Amino acid sequence: MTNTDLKALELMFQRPLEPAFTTRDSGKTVLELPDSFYTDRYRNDTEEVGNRFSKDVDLKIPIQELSNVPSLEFTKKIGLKNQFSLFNNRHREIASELITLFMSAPNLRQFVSLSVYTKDRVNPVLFQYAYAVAVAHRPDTREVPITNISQIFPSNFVEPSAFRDARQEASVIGESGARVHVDIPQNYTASDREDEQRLAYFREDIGVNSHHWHWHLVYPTTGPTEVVNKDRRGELFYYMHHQILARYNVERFCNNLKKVQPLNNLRVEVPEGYFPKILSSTNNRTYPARVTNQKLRDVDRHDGRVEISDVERWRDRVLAAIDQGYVEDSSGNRIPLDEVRGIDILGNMIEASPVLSINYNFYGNLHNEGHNIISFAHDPDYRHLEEFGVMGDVTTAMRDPIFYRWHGFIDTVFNKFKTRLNPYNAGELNFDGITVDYIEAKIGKSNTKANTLLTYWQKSSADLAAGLDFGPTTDRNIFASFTHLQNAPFTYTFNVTNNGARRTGTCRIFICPKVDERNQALNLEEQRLLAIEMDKFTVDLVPGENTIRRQSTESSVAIPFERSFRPVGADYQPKAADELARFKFCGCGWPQHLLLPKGNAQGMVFDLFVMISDYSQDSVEQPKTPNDACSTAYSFCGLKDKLYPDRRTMGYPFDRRLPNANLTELVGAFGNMAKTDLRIVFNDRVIDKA
Amino acid sequence: VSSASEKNVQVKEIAIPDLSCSMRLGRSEQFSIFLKSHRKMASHLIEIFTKMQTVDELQSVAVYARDRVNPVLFNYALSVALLHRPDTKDLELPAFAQTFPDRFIDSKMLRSMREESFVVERSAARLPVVSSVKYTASDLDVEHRLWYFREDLGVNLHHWHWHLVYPIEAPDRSIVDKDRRGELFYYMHQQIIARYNAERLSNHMARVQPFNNLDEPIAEGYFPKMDSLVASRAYPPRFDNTRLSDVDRPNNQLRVGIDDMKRWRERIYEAIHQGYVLDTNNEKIVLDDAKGIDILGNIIEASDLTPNSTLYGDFHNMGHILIAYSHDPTNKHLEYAGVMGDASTAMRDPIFYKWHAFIDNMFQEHKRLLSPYEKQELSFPDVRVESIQVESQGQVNRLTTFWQESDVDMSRGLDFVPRGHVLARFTHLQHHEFSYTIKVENSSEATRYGYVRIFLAPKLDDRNAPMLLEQQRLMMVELDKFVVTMPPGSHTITRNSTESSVTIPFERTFRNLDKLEELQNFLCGCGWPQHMLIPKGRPEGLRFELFVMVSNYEEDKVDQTVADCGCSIAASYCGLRDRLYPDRKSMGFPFDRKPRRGSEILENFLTPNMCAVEVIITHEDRTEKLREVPARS
Repeated sequence: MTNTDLKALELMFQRPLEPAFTTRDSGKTVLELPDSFYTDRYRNDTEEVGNRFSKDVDLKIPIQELSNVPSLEFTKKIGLKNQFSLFNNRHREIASELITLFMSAPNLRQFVSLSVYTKDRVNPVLFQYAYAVAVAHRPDTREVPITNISQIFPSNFVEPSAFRDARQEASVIGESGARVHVDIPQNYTASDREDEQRLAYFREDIGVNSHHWHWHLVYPTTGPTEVVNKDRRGELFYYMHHQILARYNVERFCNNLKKVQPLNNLRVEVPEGYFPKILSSTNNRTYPARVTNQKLRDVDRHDGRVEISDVERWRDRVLAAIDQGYVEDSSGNRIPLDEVRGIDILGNMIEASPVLSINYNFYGNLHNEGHNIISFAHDPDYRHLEEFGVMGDVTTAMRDPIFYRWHGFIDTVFNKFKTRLNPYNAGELNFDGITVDYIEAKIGKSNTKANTLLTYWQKSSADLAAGLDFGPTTDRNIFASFTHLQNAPFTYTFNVTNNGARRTGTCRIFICPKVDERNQALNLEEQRLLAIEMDKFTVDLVPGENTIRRQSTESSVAIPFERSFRPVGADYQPKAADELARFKFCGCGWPQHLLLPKGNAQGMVFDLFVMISDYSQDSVEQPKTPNDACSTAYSFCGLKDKLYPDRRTMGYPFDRRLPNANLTELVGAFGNMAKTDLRIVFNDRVIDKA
Repeated sequence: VSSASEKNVQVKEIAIPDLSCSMRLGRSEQFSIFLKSHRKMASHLIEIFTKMQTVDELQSVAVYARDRVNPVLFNYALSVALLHRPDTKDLELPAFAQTFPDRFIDSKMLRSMREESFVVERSAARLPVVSSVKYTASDLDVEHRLWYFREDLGVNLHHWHWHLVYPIEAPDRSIVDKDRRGELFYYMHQQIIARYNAERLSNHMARVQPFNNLDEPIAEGYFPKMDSLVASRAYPPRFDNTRLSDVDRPNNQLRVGIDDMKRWRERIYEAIHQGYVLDTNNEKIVLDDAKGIDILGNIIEASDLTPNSTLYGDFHNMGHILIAYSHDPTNKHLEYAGVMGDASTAMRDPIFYKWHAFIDNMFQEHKRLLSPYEKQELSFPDVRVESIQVESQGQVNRLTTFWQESDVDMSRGLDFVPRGHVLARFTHLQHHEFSYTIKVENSSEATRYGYVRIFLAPKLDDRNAPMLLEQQRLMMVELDKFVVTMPPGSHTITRNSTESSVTIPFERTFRNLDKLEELQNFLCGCGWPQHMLIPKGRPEGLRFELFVMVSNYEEDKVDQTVADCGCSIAASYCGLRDRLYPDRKSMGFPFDRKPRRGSEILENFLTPNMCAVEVIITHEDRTEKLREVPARS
């Protein structure tokens, strides 16, 4: 790994729409391309544009000629100014082929050359997706940081007038120190007349949507088998989305809205309209809207066909498999949906990875085609030459209220399977000799009240410079300020008694809502489906009294706040080796600033649930490779190049039915569990950290 | 910032008038002249601009206002003021499409134009960005066959500019109250519908159906594919089968129900059928032959000139508004208006033509109540039109249309990118130039002055049957109108198509901003684009009637000082600046009224001073291309 190779790989994440030969890194660095790398448009002007961009730079990186120039004909089906969708089968196939091409580059330097050559000839989102997947999976690039997607295509995450303002700021004020932050309004997609707008802070959060994209980088649906077939990938699909639904529903309760209604009938009108007001920089068009009471229709377009009947058929077959307790593979063999592997098999079937689905032709493409039918509701036959709506794009789908209705339905299918399994028995829940005596969660300051946590609005800034294509080249910082939910950091403290020999346990922390939006008590079945995983970590328990302390910022669910929004470029690269190692992390993970649900002004009461399970039952034998820095946020994202580090099914103990009538009885029956009331107070003010 | 500029303009410091009224519209919001609240803001700003004592002071307040007021509102108000101030009315206005290109082109092109200006430093080395001809809809959408008309740059410019010259509301009534302004509203739009229908026949489509039932869903969706650079958002689409809803948008100070529209419609029809309207004092104003159409025009357009806005409402504008906000009638989604809400974009939408077909039907209800023109009203004693023909490319009575590529410099509208030219390339309809040859006989002993009126209409209807004149007259497209001097005896009149009184020259629409000195004679932006003068025709040829009438100029002329004003072209649809409309006859004469008894077909309608001949318009489906541009990968 040479410095310039590393630098070149990082540069490919910046200014995705600009040709490869323009300056990057705030105007400091330029790639020197072989003449054959220039595209037709600039081939006759190589000297002119080369000179234009190579003056006044600190670093010129020469790019090696390709030993084998690949044919990129297969990528032409997606035009350079078209939208790319991971939900589209053909787009995924093209991406898969491109990933294969990148993975097969014989060495690092040739991979760099191949990337640079490809970048200007391929749809920019397709390139960024396949490139990021390859960087994440090649052995020789495992240390390269993958830029947060919200900084590559910030227009997918930010209200578009911010860019006009950012360009104005950058053009008129020459020195970045004098620039004011461009303010992004908090409510720009709908007014308060729309009930769903109360959840806009969640659905439209930059971190939430980045997480969704990055999850799909780490877990691509289509690609080379070694890239796609990761440990328990199907179950992770189930669990990641299940947790999103749980969190979303809890947020709805916080805003006096009822639980999301699953979209289980595609033939009725969809009452929720959505006007995303998000501009795609790829085609310079706003993502299409869905009008109130839109009716869904069969999609028959040049790039894909699906009938509502198809989706209904696949749904019925999946439900039949669940009810029968087995699936049939493509050879007709019956495979039982047991309590260990069943959920993984179902996940791969429903997400519909062609590589991993047990019988793709029979069980179909339920989840993805649902996204497509919804995202093309405005132009199902391509009559109006429209692209897909936000539901068709992984970086934007979660903005749409219907995402939660569609995934609400998908989750009911998974839950139907889980409900058919036997409840956990005492042997599966117990940890003999371990008693959780006391639990508390407390904000850092010593005089704060135990088990009362705080949320509020925070104004933060994101640097748009790396994604501001065709803007001034010497930009250092062009900041956009936006307001998002934040929580005050808190500490968990648990007192645990170990009556036996020294043992290792897995500590599992959940928050469960106690009441719904009408203040009605939830029963255990309802509570378990709405349980939010907060953290999971290993604890050593010595004989006798143990005190366990854990910071909320250490959560296995979340990635730290700063990592979602750090600036891109050489100036921000840490120098010290250990800091550099920590810097190179996975962008996958729930945003820390949304770790806690919003609560409400009076203080919404939750059950804080803690369980310590037997590590000897939980642990997984891992391959003997060193841990890398990408070990945070594994609950939703797994571990890079390793097995999922928990043998239990995801969501344990709340993924299956429980033997007691309510949570109080459950905790009373098992000493290794404890619960306490937790109050989350929402303070309706804005803390400015921009 | 200014050190790199070639020229610095000194701006005088003055006391700044109060702009707070106009600043109530946010700089990122969409401005619409169909919204009364927006018109009031514009009116206030127009007043400030027109009342500045000197040009220097106007410049100062304009520079101050430019950075504080909504950009489109600013552009509109300043344009109206410049057109109407005595000391600036001859000033060149840049074409609106070059200041706000986002309203006229596919938003995909803006990205390419930004790339071109950023990557290639030297202007001369930059290449045009090519527009796709099919970016709003595919052939699955039958209405898309008319993309070249509805989405034409020049057509939409004409509509915007007409509203600059004829604002609905202004602080000074004289700016609004121009000669026969209401009738011009009627006639300009009637001609648009006539032209549109000719294009529909050219594309084997039925004539446009009026949108006369507001409760019916609108079957045609429209997705304009344009982003507003001001609002940084797409112009909202209208989805297939949209049903109109009452609009209640407090933030736009806007509330209108479909019930209101029905009530206004019925009152207007009542006034037409009774032959009079009531003013605010409940006095009757008769809708007579001469002034009736003008009064109706002011009522239906609902300008400041309406005699009774309380009674007759705001019918035309609110129709635009209901359609423009059909996707978000209560501002629940914080959406702006669709393209029907803006004069520079409304004509792109197929519903515009259905709406205006309905408006035209209201006007025609009045026209049908007027007595038909009698023979003596149509005749010109002693003058006979012996023959007419058109000649083009050596062919007689055959005209050809084709596609043509043209480049437009859009750099004025690209904010915050390196300076210098950025060209956008469009494909549009074009035709070969043609000339009229009209032989007239003046059998009197004296010189006669004639007003030559040239119209074109299809011969057959959408079912390929010959049209009765009652239908055909509504399809008559005015091509030209000019004065001739006829000495005694035979006389041959020749006229070139480029001299048309309907159109503005080709270069006006597609001109290069840096060659202004060469275009000294092309001042007015209002007028039908020259390249759209004749309908497309069909590949196998489409049969039209070319109609020429020479009427008695002594009866037609309007007495006014004959100064040679620069803005004398395109008078038919736009009138003359600061002057009376130069024709005493009703607009559309002789086809604005139903034909007299015994004239069921055009042939029987003809009097000796008229002549009609068949002209075939053939469309050659080829494109006259500019230099090839390397593929932009």
